[in-house]
Amino acid sequence: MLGSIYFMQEQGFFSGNGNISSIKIEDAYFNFGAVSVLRGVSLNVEAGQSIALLGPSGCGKTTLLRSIAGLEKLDTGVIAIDGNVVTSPDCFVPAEKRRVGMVFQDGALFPHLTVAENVRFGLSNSFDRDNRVKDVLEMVGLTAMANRAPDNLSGGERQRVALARALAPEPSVLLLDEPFASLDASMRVQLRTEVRQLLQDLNITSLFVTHDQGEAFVLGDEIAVMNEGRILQIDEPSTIYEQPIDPWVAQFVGEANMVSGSTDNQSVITSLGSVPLSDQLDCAAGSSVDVLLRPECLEIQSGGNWLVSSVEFYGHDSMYQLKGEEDKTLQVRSFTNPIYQTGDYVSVRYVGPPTMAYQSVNS
Amino acid sequence: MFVSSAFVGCNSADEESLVIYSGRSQYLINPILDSFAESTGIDVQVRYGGSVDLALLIEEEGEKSPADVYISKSPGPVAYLAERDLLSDLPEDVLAISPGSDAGNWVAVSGRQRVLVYNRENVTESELPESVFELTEAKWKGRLAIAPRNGSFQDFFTLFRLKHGDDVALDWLKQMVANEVKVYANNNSIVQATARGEVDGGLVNHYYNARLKVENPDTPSANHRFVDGDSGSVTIATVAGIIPGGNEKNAEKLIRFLLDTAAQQYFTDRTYEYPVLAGIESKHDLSKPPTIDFGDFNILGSGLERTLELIREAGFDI
Amino acid sequence: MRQDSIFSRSDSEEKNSFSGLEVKEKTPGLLLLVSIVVALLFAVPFLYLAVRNIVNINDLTNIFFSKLTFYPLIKTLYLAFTVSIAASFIGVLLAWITIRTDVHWGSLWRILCPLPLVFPSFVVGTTLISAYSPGGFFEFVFLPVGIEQFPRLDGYIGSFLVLTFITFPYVYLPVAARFSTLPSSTEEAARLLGYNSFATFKRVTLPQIFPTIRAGTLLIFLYVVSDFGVVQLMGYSTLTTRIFNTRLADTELSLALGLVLGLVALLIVLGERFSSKELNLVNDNPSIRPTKLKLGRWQPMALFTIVITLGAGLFSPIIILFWWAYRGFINQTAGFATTSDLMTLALPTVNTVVMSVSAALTTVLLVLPIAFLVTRFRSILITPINAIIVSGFALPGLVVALSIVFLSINVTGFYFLYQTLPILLLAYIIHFGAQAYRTAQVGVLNLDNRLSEVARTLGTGRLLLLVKIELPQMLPALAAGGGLVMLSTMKELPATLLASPIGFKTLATHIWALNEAGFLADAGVASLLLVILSAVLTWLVVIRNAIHLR
Repeated sequence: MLGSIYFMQEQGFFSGNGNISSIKIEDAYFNFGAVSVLRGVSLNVEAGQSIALLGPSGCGKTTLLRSIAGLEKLDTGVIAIDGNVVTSPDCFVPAEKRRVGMVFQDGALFPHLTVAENVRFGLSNSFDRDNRVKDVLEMVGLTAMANRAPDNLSGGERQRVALARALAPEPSVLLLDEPFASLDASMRVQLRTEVRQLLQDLNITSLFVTHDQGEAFVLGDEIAVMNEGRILQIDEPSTIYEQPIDPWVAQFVGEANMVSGSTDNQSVITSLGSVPLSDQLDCAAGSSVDVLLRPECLEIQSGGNWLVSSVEFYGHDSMYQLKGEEDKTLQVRSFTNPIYQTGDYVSVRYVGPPTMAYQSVNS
Repeated sequence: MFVSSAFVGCNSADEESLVIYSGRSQYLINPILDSFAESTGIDVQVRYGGSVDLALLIEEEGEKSPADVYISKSPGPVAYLAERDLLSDLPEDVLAISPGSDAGNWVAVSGRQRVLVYNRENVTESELPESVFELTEAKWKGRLAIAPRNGSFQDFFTLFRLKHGDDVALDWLKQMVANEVKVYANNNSIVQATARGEVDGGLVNHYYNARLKVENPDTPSANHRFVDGDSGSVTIATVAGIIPGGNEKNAEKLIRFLLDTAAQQYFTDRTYEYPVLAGIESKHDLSKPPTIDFGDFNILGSGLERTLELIREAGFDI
Repeated sequence: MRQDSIFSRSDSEEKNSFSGLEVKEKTPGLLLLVSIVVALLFAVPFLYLAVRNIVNINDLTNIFFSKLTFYPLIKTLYLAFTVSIAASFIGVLLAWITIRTDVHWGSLWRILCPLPLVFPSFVVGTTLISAYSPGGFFEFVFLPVGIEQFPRLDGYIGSFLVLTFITFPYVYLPVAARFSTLPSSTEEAARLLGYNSFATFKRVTLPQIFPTIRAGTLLIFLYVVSDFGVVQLMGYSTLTTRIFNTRLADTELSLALGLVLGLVALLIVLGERFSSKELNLVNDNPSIRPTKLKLGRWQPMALFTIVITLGAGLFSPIIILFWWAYRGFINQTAGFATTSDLMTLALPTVNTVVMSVSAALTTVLLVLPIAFLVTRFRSILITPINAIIVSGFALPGLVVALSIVFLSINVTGFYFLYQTLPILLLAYIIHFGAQAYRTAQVGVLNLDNRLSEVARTLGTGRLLLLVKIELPQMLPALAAGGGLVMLSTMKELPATLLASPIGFKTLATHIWALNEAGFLADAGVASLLLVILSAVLTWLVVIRNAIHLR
């Protein structure tokens, strides 16, 4: 698999002329009519880094991406690519001069051009165009499709062409706007793995918009979680998952049980026992808090006061839905075949690493 | 079969109905057709259209034509139908009232005068010509307009060439071209161009300026009639004929009605036309009572092709 | 050399044939039969010309090769060609400005832009001459810029200008509909690949809308060929003016020229079809809102372009019509009294609405099977059917009207329809079918077959499928084409005058009759009513359905 990358490097796939750049966004605001789409977003993407912008639809992530590309103009705020300001209140570098590559959700292939012509489209005459087209198509495994019309491609093939087209002119950064959203599930998984490999091998700076946590975890060196026009947290995927900054992030990036308890600042005493905390909480001992318990960090034992209300078997794991006193619910993931059945009574304990607790909303 | 008769009952010899195809504009003739319907109790239905188009329609319909009467605003289209045996003979006494064709299958109903419309701001009264022949003089160079593609000009020119011969007629038209006469589509556009001052004058039917004066009393345009007997002052007639096979009795009634005093008075008072009936006084200043000179109708229809040839020969693209 | 890649070739997906182009199956018999019957109706004017010319078969070759044919033919083609280019350019420009930019009062312009199409030819011709000839109404406006007198508006230049400013909607309407559904992502992709706005338009936008432009341009070409009113007023001789001007004095010549015109139109349409690739550029996605270019300092320039174009084709005629009406009102002319009786206008107004909307609907429904046939299936009949439907638009309305009369008089089984509304409707359909036909093709191409397949697996019957699933998808394209038919029908004269039930009046025939009699004030009032009516119908029928903007 990696053979082709070595091949590309031999062929000078990276010309090494500084096309790996950083992106810096400071205090970006953007309004669409009366709607505030971006409300003070700041973000640094270091050269060669791959960051996933994760958030629900309408959170402003696509607008942020389009602002970097020069397709939208911020109301206030500064965007710099490789240290050069491209958007500020006083200056706006047009999209065509930013050397930014972008892959659109719908591929946005030129329907009147063949695959090869699409890829060739952005190549200035400083390239050896024929060879460059050949190389890039080979990179995405579409050499045989060079003369096809986009209309005759599958969804996955279209997105590969879109990627090849964006990469062909050696952009300084690569932006991807939900590139797998229009694909079916298995194709999505396959393509995202391949794209991750490619981005790592090319070591290109990339910013990737998605509403799918799985995609964000796979593709991002870091993940920036966005909601309602703000970035809530930027961290490595594991930190995002294990130490989400607030309950909303905790629940957005994965299944989460929020269980109430009282804290002694090192741990939380809950009905399931004591749960260790990763960070000291800044509140009085004995305060009531909600603690995050990921389903896979819980373990079930037979006999107890939790009722199994349903069991879903996924093959590699199983998910139990439990019902407790006062209509409390819990989700528990087990990596063994289901042992317990609906109607069984079980007990639950926490077996995971130190986790996060948040001040109770209602306290 | 009975389905079809239900739909086409209008062209059968229904005692109380009459179908008219009229090339004369609705707003000029409809009131008099209404009063005909009212006084006779006959159910009158009218299809309005261009005179030429309606003639072609009647030809296309042939024996199945629903039309009983055809009214044309100039003799050309009626002569076209007569030539193809698509008109009935009219009774002698009708033909005696008004000028008509030798063959006796159509009559004039009213007349419009060929005149020179001119702009009073650009042409003095002393300048005005007595004859259409004077228009080839150098002083008119580039100042006049004609409408060689229009039926009324072609009718005028046909009568002109029949009176003076093709050579004289062609020579006159060629001299008009040499005198830089300007070409317009129809009477109306010449009258309006004259009113704007785009041209100083043009050869038209008198009706259009009379009408423009109603729309705009301040118009600087005015009609000038050439002397009696001059080829420039011929009368173009509105004519009517009967289509065979329909309700010929009612058709005859209508034609008599149109030639009667009330209708003739209406035409002179309301549509600024000249009566074909003697003794009708106009309330408008239509200069002086016209000498009815309908020229030789019989040749008018079939003579049009030759007229077209001459107009082309004079240099007009038609 | 290693040929493998991190991208495996083993896509689990196979290409779904969305477009339908891949699967040109055997033509269903019923569809073919319906198409042939419809095509035969469209062939009526051509058959009529052929039959009427057989009598003079000997003279025919002389006429074909005489200068009486040759010069007007050359002049016709020259005018039609130049107007097509200019009007298409304007149509695309206005569609782009009104759909793809944030131009002020965009929704107003979108309603007004198709309207120049609604004036009967003679109304635009007469009013524009009144406005822009020596001594014309607007001379005072141009005095300050040093123009003391307009040159005469006539001849080639006059015809070119007037026809350009009234025919651009043939391109505007379908292109605007296309712009409103064409995702802007391809344009954005081009920008990011280093192309500026202009280069992007040229290399990416234009190729995608080009089939739509070309279809509209062909309509403009054929309209100019068939136009009588404007060119006659301007004194420019075309085949059509010669057909009219000789139809009484030299019927044989007139009919022969009609045949020549029909054959030339057929050749042009055939040539256009052969010179072009298939319309396969379908990338529309109505769910994505096209982004609008912010005009910024170009805003005044964009407004200026719109105002100048509509100023010539719409506002100037309207101002002159107002002036006529006002003058009539002031002078209390006899004619004006007839208009003040509102009933005089009520019936023609109702008739105009009913006929134009039903013509639009029935035309779309009749050309739809053919659009399916042509886009989905292969058949040797496609080329002739296509040519007959499209080229019928080039024939003068009089020929179409007479051919319908000929059909109902001479063909058994049609006479009971003579001078009834269905036969009038048929005349409209035959004359204007071309306007709905091309956009119907675009509509069929836009169909997402996956939806149809899903529906079929749910057991939906073919007809229900069409009504429930396919028609809504095709609506924008069909509404654009139907809108053109509607506006054309509103101003139609020869067929309405000759083939309608006796006594049937529309606003157009009413205006024509008033104009013939020189009742300018009344003609002004009725024409203004026609414009208002067309604006309302354009909004109701066309804009709401064809142009998807939020």
